[in-house]
Amino acid sequence: MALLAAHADILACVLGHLAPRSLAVSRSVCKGWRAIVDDYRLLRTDLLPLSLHGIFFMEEFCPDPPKLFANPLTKHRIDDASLGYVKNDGGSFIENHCNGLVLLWNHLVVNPATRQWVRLPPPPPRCTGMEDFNDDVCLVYDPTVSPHYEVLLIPCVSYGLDSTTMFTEESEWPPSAYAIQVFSSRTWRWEERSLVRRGEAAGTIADMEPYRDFVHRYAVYWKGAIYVHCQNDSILRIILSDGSYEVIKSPTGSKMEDSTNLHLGKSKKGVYCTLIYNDIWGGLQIWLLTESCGKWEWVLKNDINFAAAVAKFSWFSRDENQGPWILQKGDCDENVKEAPVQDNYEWDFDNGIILAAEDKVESDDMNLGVLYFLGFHPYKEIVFLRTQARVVAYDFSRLKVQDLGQLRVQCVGSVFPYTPCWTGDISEKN
Amino acid sequence: MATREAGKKMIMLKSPDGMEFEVEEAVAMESQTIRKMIEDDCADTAILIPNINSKILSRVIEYCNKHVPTTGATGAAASDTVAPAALAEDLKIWDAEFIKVNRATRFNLIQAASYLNIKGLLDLTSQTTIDTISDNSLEEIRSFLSTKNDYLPEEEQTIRRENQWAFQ
Repeated sequence: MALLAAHADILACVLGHLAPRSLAVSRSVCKGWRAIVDDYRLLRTDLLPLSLHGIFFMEEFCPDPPKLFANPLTKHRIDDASLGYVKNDGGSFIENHCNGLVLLWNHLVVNPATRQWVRLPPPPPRCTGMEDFNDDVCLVYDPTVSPHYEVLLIPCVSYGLDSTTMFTEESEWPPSAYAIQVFSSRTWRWEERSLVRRGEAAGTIADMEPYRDFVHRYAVYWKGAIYVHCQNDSILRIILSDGSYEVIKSPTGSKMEDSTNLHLGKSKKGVYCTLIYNDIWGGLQIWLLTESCGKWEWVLKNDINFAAAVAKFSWFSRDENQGPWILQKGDCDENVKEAPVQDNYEWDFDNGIILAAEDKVESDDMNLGVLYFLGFHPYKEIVFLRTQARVVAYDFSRLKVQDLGQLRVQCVGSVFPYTPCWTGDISEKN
Repeated sequence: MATREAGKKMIMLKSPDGMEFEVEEAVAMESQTIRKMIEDDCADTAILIPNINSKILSRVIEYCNKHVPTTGATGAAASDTVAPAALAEDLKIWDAEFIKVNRATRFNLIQAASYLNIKGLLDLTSQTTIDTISDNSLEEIRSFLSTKNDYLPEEEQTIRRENQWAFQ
């Protein structure tokens, strides 16, 4: 290696070919390598989707464009959170997101940080026998590993099986083998991929609720696998590289009651989900998906009544306080322009109010409205919730709550914590 | 393959061990370094390529010969008979054969590609090293590339913590 040390330029050339994740690992190989990675500025973590910028959301049942509820102290700005520059006749409905990229209805992929957007070619028609089904649309992108992204159309159950003879209400769902459509930015075309199930099905077609939580059934991409929230609250774990999938039951082992919402997300240790029990105000559980000996299990990380957390704040006595986070609507948002710009890109979530174990509140007397789940912090054990028109960050490993400010909207639709990606070319020529 | 037709400008490349290679100017210009020399009129008679011995230089020329874009009559003929996709596939197979060399040769080729600024060759020669780094654990990288870990355990922990996301 002394040889390579004498040829820093060459090693820099070689290392320059590495994906950011491998570059970061290379820094740990030896001091010489770290010096080259740092001296040549090969690793630009500041451009990668590694910092939480805010929460992107749309209002449900509302034609308004997307909005961004964001940390006002970030160095970089998202110029137009409404994505007004995207030419889309159908409006900008967010279908899914992954590591800084957003997938809009009509197969549009947008990077809100670079304002680059691209329309994918139309997908081929569904294969024979699958005409009656809908699709769950997932985006798979991790610029720390590859500049390429994929879009998956995963069949899901729709109302009525009119024209198919292949399936009945009693048929297993998903089938033991079926095809999904996958678009790859590498080849710039759609391709049919077969998936073969390992283990049991999620249930029967009759068990699936076609429009259950339509906008909140998300997909998560974690370590090469795609986790899709299925229509009976099971999770499909798809591994594209070997064309297999398996079904992971929900934490309760079955479909949720109507009053309970399951939300899938990614955070510090992998794939998590929250259960919000709307029949008990503030009922909240957070589960972590773990694997041992090839078996998947949900581990309960936190089980609280969020009324105790809300009681810590004195919102009722306070006047219409806006901050500290602000709503970014479009280019001409005055609040954003006036906000001070600082270098501390990351919001400090350590300043929260600590919840003591004995903090119990009788929620019966409190009219607190609906508790909405907004998402998981991508790499800290924090969830974002909305109640009383305010957004609260809840650190569930250290039991701390922090008020992020007022967010006056009727009903939150598609929503996800947003980590901007300032690098990469999403267009066809890439 | 393009044949050496009359009228094609030839360039002489000299290795430090005294060997001389006569190559078409177009082939030599696959190297951005040589292209610059030619464009700056620094290449009247022969170009001395320092640090690259004849064995390596001949392999580099072999690579450039294969990768030079075919133009004119020859090029048109080639694309009439063979589809571009098939040509690209053929080139990929050729590349895979070309790079089946020992580690020392590969390193010399990386060095040559870097000095002569031949992007395609640099990509190709770097790839194996990149694959090693991309697909293996730290210990495997160190052992494959015979690199010593000169960090103290605490230092290594600190470096890791700086990019914790990459180790998850």
